[in-house]
Amino acid sequence: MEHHPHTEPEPAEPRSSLAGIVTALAEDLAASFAQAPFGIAVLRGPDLIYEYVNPVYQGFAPGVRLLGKPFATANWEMPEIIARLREVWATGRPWRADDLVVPIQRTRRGPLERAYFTFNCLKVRTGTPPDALIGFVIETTERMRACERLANAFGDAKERAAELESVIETMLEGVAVFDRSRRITLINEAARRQIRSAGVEPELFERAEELIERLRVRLPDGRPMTVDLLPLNRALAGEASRVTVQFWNHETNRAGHASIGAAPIEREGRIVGAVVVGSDISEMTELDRLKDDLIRVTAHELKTPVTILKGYASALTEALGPSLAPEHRRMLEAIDRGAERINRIMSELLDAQQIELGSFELVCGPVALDALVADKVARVAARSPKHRVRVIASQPLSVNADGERLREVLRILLDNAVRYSPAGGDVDVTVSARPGFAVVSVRDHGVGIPPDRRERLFQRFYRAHTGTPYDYGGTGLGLFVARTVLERHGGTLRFESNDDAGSTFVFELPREPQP
Amino acid sequence: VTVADRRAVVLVIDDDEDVRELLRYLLERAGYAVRTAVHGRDGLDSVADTMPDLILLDLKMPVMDGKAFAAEFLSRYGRATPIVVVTAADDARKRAAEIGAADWLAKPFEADGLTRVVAAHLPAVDAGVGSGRR
Repeated sequence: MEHHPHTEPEPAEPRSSLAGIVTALAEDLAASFAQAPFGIAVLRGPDLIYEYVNPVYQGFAPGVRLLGKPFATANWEMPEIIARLREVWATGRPWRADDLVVPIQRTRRGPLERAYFTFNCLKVRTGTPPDALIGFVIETTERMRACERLANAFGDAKERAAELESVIETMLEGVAVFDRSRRITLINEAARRQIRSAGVEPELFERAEELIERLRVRLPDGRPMTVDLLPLNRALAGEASRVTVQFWNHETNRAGHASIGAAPIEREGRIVGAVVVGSDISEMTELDRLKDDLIRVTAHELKTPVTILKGYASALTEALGPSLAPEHRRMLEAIDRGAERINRIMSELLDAQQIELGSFELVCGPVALDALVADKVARVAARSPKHRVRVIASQPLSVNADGERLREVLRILLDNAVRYSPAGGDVDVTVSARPGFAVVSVRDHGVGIPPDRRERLFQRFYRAHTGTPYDYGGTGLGLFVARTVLERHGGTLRFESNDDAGSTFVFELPREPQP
Repeated sequence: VTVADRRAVVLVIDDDEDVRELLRYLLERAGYAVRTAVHGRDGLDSVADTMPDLILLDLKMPVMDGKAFAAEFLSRYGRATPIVVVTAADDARKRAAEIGAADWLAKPFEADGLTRVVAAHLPAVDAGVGSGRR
């Protein structure tokens, strides 16, 4: 065998170079397998024994020993995959599956997880039998989870959108959504109904000028509606607003009222459209009008009988004069007071109504405030025998004011002072001046105003003594009317009150004529 | 000419008998002569017969209301005889101005308020009646 070394290199050389290439290729392949970003496994023989796994593959189940074990043993939890691989072995046909859900236990005592894998498996002949399966495996769990989340979110969003849509659809108010170019992108049944019942087609809402013209849209005070006042236009300019308008209903051939509001829809700081909400308030407006008529007519109709009661009671008192027995005089005075109360209730209701309707007007002229106060105080004093109602300080002061309304204010303040001093006592009135203003105060020593009720004292129909022992009745409109009258003059009305020591009401009027 | 003949004559036009009689009572007691009419048409007949010195006019009346009366009266006789509106309307001042009345008196009124407004528009007719501004 010693001579062999001299002769061997000749025939051996081509073989050894091929082997070298194969070895080099195998080494390259092994290196690429080791660095591959996907899992690679080689399963040998009919029992599919793990012969090779690359680090990524081992990473799928870091806590499980694979090499040398049959696939079915190492992966008992995935019977479906086991069956597939056996099929590949038996038929030799490659198998490929994308994003397959696979149960997997990644560590020996770990939980069974649901994971996603993409498989690519083929049978290969190897130099030495038996044959083997080579599998390329990519885990797609993360991607699929992201997809799932997206799908769920989308599903939720769709569900919520559907919910929202059914809410909008069944709302009693009409809702329409417009895009920036004023096209309707959503409109609910109520809006369609309102539009139909007004006798116009929904598309008209996309053409504001025409709509205003066709429906003869006007502001509540009768002024014509302008395009820039439309809530939709203001919303598209970025401003939420609400208006009440009159319109002509072409179906009923009558004027109707609608309340229309709109708000911009913004996305990432940009106005992308507007939502408009409208309701037909014709019926409500009509009921309101009936209520106003009822108050006006009732007040008007009651004034004549009140005139008769008061007139004859005082005529009798005067006519009988000294021959009238004191108790009969008191009876006649009671008739007069009762009639006067009816009169005041109706006056306060009418005033409050005029204020509400915006038809409350002042007729101003020069008024001698001190004389007016003295006169009113004398009148209240004359019919309040239990009280000492008096002016304790005064000075000549002229104001530019509505004398009738000022009398009403004083009457309200003095009546309250007397009413809420049930035990009698002093009601002290002062007339004074500070720069630019005339100041009148009315102080009583009565029951005061409970602290928790002071805040609401000037609200309409609010009566601070409701439910207290000092509930002496009244409309709850007096102070509301008084304050409004003073504010319309550019003045103020305020009060101070001690719980048991009475209240002081102070009003101020500007001495210069108001513009 | 007797003193009674020189008394100023006030025509009261009001559909409510009780109000009419109350006005008559208060005015007669203040020294005026009073005639009455129950609505505008009746009032026009009355002034056609004898022109009063002043007219107290209710607004809301059947047959012919105060507004229609005032329009007809002013077109026939001008403004020589003042009309004072006596009304329960809450916007009495405005209504009085609208129909061309000289003044107004809101219902319910008091006796002295009534005599003041009447006297203010009859300054020269009878010196015995109190005068003054409202």
